[in-house]
Amino acid sequence: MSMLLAWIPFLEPMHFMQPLWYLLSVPLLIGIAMVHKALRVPQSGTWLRASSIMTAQALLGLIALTLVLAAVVYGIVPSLH
Amino acid sequence: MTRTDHSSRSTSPAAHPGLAVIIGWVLPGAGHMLLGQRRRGIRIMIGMAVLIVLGVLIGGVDAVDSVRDRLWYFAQLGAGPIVILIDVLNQKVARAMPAPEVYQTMGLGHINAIGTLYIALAGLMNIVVLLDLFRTRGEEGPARRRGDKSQGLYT
Repeated sequence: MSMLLAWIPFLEPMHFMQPLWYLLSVPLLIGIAMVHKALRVPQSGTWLRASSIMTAQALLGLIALTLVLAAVVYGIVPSLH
Repeated sequence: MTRTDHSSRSTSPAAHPGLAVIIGWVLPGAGHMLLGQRRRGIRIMIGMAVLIVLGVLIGGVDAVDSVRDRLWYFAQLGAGPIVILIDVLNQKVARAMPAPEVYQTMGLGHINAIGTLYIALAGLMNIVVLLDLFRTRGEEGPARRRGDKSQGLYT
């Protein structure tokens, strides 16, 4: 809490988010999806909806990759010893 | 029901893709607006602003560092002169602070990496946006975005 109060936005990094750094990938996916869909969706198309769907798809893909890698590291690799 | 966007129909007679690329680098999204795609340009601006503002918010001014993260800086440069401005602020203001304060402005670990990544991806995405200007002529319709299905929801 004291780290948050001492934080100067845009000058100092958000070190208080260090333990939860993986949550910061969500806004990153949102930003990438917004720019990508701005190019792909016709101007009369539903840009925000398309961006939301792409963000959800990418997020689900990341979670699935995490689960697969966790299964390999904690399940398969220890059983090889 | 199909909505029509009248702003997309007109192409500025003075608009040239080369000029639009320069304008689009200086202000991401402005190149498309110059070629008559106002709505697309605004959407690109919003997306790029999300990436750049959040990158600096997360990583501080140290998210852009032309000295210690030179290769990342090259990728970040695609986002325009704002990156140069942030780097100047980092080198001239943050790094010039006295010893106890300067350490607080330095990014460490995951936070520095993610802040840097946000702005690097903004730069790389803007290069894609700039390349798109060469196939943009202001017209809209199925031929303009042929790969889209169902208004581009699943592409």
